[in-house]
Amino acid sequence: MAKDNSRDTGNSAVPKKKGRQSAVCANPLYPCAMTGAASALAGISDMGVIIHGSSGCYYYADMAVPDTLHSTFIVQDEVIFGSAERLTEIVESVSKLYNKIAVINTCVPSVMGEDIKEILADYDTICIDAPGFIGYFDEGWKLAVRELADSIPINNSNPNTNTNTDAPLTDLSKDSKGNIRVNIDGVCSMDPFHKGSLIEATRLLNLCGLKTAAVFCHDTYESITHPSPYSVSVNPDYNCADVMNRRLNADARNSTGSLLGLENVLRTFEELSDRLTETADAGIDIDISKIESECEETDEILTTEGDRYLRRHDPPRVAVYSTYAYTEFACDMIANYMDGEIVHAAARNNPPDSDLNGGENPYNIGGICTLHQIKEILSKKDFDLIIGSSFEHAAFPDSAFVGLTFPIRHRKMLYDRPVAGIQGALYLMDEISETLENGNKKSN
Amino acid sequence: MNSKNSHKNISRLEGCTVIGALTVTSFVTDAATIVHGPAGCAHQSASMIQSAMIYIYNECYGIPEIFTSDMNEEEIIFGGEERLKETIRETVADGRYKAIFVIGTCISDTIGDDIETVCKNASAEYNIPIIPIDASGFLGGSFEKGFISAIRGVTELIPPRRTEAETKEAPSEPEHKTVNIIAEKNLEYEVDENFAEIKRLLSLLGADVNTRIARRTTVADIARFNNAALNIVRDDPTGEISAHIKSVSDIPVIGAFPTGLSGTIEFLKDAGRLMNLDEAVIDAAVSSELKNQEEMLKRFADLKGKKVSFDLFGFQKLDSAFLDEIAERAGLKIDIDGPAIMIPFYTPVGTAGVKQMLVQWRRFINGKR
Repeated sequence: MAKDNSRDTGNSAVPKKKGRQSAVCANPLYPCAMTGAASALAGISDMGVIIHGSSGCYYYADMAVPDTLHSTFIVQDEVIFGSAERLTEIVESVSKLYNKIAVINTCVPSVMGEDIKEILADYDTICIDAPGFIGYFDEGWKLAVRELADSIPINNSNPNTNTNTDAPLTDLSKDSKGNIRVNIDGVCSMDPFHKGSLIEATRLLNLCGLKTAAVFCHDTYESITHPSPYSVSVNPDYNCADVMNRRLNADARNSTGSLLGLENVLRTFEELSDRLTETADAGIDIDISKIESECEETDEILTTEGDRYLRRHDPPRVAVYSTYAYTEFACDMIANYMDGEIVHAAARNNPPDSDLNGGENPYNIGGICTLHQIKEILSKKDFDLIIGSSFEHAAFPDSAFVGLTFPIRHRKMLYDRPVAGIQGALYLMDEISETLENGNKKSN
Repeated sequence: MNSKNSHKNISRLEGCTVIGALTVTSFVTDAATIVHGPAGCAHQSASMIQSAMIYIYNECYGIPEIFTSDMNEEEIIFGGEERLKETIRETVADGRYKAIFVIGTCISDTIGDDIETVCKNASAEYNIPIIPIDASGFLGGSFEKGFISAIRGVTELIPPRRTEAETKEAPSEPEHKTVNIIAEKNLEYEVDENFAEIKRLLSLLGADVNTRIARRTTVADIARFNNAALNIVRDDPTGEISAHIKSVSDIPVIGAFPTGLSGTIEFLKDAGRLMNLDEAVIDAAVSSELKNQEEMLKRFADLKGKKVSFDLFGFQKLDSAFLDEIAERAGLKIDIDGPAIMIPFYTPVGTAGVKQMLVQWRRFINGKR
C-alpha cells in the first residue's frame, strides 16, 4: 500500500496569496479570476451565467469552460455612457431561460464603479466581482463559491438550515427513501478529467450502497443548496461543500475526504463509515469491504507494474506541473510505485485551505505561474518525463509527456478519463508507464 | 438558447484587439511581445492562439513567448506605467530580443497608462525598437483592428526609404525579382497552402519571396523589405493595409491574393507588369497557368451537367462572379434546385484553391456533406 501522504510545511510551499514570483512574467499558465468564477457557476445547470464584459473575455471563457455561458458583449459605448441598460437587457433575456442568474464582472466594468447589485435589484441574481487583475482562476472560483453560499436563504423553508449543531443529522443525510446521501465535491468543469472522476466517484459510492447528494459544482441550484453533511472529493483544490455547509450551519464536524490515490480512497471511506456510525445516524453501518478489496487488488497491480518497469529501466526522473492536489497525487504515484525521483514539482495554485497549516510537503511543491520559469528550471535538469499541460508539452516537444492539467490539446479527449478514485490511479499509472516505455524505446 | 446568437449588434461579437495583434507580433520570432494588462489576458490570448494552431497543424505547436506586465490591483489604483517600464527592462535584459512590441489592453487603456511615451523613452534608453501597438483591448475595436494595428507596428521595423542618392549608389537590381507577402492570416486553416500557391505562381514569373510580414519572420528579414519589387497583401477589404504599405514604401502593391480562375491569370499579368517584367515572360507564365487550369478541371469531368446552387450564408453582398465562373468552367449548371453549396468563409487562393474547393463541391453534389 502507498505510504502516508501527509506533508510537512516546506520552505518552498506555494505562497498563500497570489504574488509575483518573478519580475518577468512570460506565458502565464493559468486563466484569470473571471474564468474561475465562470467555471464554478456555469456547472449549475439551472443558473444562467453572464460574463459582464467584452467578446474577447467571453470567447476565452467559452472555450475553456464546457458549460453554456452568456455575455453582455459590451463595447465602448457602454464604457462611456454606462452599462446599466445593456446589462439589464441581457439579464432580462437570459432570465427567461433560468431560475437564477449570476453576473460576473470583468476588468473594465469592475473599475467603472457601477453598482451592479443595485442595477439588478429587480432580478434574482448573484453578482461576482471577479476582474482578471485580482488574480488567477482559483481566486475567482473561491469568490464565486462564497457568493453562491451567501445567496442561499437562511430560513425555515430550507431543511438544511440547522441552527442547532447538536441536532440529529438524519434528515440531512438521507434521501426520501432513507438512503444515505453523500456529496461529490471538487468537480471543476475546466479540469479535463472532471467527468471521468465524477463517474468514478459515483461508482465508488454505489459500491458501498451510498447515493449521490449534491455534486459541487456540477448540479442544479436546488441540489447544491440542499447538500448532505458528508462529502467525498475528486479534487480537493476545488472543494465547495464545506463552504456551503458552514453557511447552512449543518454540521461543524463535516469535512471532505480526498479520492486522489488509493491511500486517500481507503481513508476517506473508512472515515465516512466511522462518522456515519458515530453520529446520530448510528445503526447505519455502510459496507466498505468492496472498496477495501478493490484497493488491495489495485495496489498489487500498480506495484507489479512498477516492478516490471524497474526490471528494465532506472527509476524515472519526473517533473510534475499541475494544480496542487493533482501535483501531489502524481508525485505520490511516481515515488511510491516507480521509486521515481521528482526533479521538480510546482503547482499553479495554492494548496487547499485545509493543507495550508501544518501539512507536509515532501516533494517541495512550489508555486509557478509562468511557462518561462518552468523552461528555465528544466533547461538545467535531466528528466525522463514531464507531467503537465499542453503548454509544458509545447515547450519540450521532444520529451516524454503525460497530460494532467488544463489545457490538454496535444491529444483528443473524446472519452471521459478519471484521475480520482481507483480507476484514476490505474489511468495515471497506465499513462505514465506507457509513455516512459515508449520514450525508452525511442531512445534505444 | 445560447446568447452567442442573441445580440443585435454584430460589432459586439468581433473579438478582442489583443489576440488580433498577437497573431502578427508573435510571428516575429526574434521580437518579444508584452501584453500590458493582467496576466490572464496574456494567458487567454496565448491559449487561444495555441488552440487554433493545434487545430491547423494537428500537432504540438511551439507557443510564442508572450510577456505580460501582470497588472494587479495596485497598478489599477496607482497606474501601471512603472510596472510596464520594469517589464520592458527585464525583457531587454533577457538579451534574446531584437525588438519589443507592447500591446495595451482594455484595462490599461481605461486607467490611462501612456504606453506610447513609455515605449518611446525605453526605446531611446535601451537602443532597440520598442513599438507600441494601438490596441486597447475591446476599447480599441475588434480582432481585425488589432491585426491591422500590429501590421502597422511591424512595418515600423522597415528601414526608411532610400534617398535618391542612395538609390543611385545601390547595386543594380537583382536578376531575380522578389516579392513581400503581407498580412497573412496566421490562424487561417490553409495559410501555408495559400502561401505555397502564391510562391508557385511567382515562380512562373521567375520571382521568389523576399520577406513575409509576419510569419515566422525575423527582424533582419523585415529589414530586407525594400529589396522587393512588389508587395502582395493577403486580403484587405477596407484597403487600410494597402494604403499603409504605400505610405511606408514606394514598392507597388497588389491588394489581395488571387481568387478564381481568371482572377489568377489577371494576378499573374498584374504582378508581371508591376515588376516590370518582359511581356514574353508574362505571356509564358499565363500560358503555363492556363494549361495547368485545364488539366486541373479535367479531374472534375464527372461533375459536368450536374446542378448546383450557392448558399451565400448571409453574405449577400459578396461578389460571387468567381463562383459562377468556376461552375461554368467545370461544366456545372447553376440551378436553384441544385444542392446548396456553402461558400467558404475565406475565398480560395489561386488555381490550387479552386481545386480544393471543387473537391468540396463534389462532396456536396454527391450528397456526402
